[in-house]
Amino acid sequence: MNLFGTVLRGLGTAIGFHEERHKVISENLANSETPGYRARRLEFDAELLRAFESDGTSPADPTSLAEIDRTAPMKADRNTVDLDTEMARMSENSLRTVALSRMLARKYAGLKTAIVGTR
Amino acid sequence: MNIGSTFAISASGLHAQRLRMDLIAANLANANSTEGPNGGPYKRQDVVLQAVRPDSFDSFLTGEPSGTSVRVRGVVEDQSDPRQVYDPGHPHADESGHVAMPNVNVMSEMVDLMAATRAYEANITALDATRRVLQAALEIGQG
Repeated sequence: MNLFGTVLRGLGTAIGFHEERHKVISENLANSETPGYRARRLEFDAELLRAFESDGTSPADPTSLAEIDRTAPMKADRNTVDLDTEMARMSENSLRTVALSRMLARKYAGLKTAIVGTR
Repeated sequence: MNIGSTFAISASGLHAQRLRMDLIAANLANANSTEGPNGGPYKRQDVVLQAVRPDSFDSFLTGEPSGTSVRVRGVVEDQSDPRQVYDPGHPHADESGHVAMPNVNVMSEMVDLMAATRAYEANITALDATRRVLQAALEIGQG
């Protein structure tokens, strides 16, 4: 059995991706009133799948995946940050991150039980 | 994730919005000041915000945030014409009895103040979310 297998590695990668996305959202929020600033998005579904597959290829660096959102409507000052959208995304993203962290913690707790036993 | 940089990005947003609120407060306080620091009526002030994305090697050396933070590029005076109010008894009145009042529109300042407050709160929420995420990460090794 591969003890520290794909699930642990996948969870770790997933947490990294979500934290990077949190950073991108924080950037958008900090620049919500900056004229000309274009909101950025970080989507990583395909990369995340790769992290959970055990074919040995490692997923891309999340910092290189963030892209300018070209569908976002532009305000009069050419800024494309929508406060409500960003808040909703951030709320969802941080919940997901916390959930992933808990899953990882459970996984480790399970490994510990396997080593020590249930006494 | 570079923990410090996410906090620093939100902090830069807080700083920018706070300065904006300071200027709005100054504009409101001086909405009727007929004599400014440079003579003439007080002129409305506004911030110029700029998104900065420092070079990653540079930012590593200087400790600046590595993401796109916001920077206050400067404070500018609104050069639009002053409001003319007829008040012949005023010491600053001209020959026709008009006084040049500051180009501050109290309504639009209040609207700007609300926008700045919302943006400030959004950054606070982002900081809080960062803290929660890190808290969860710290709990991975426990239990």
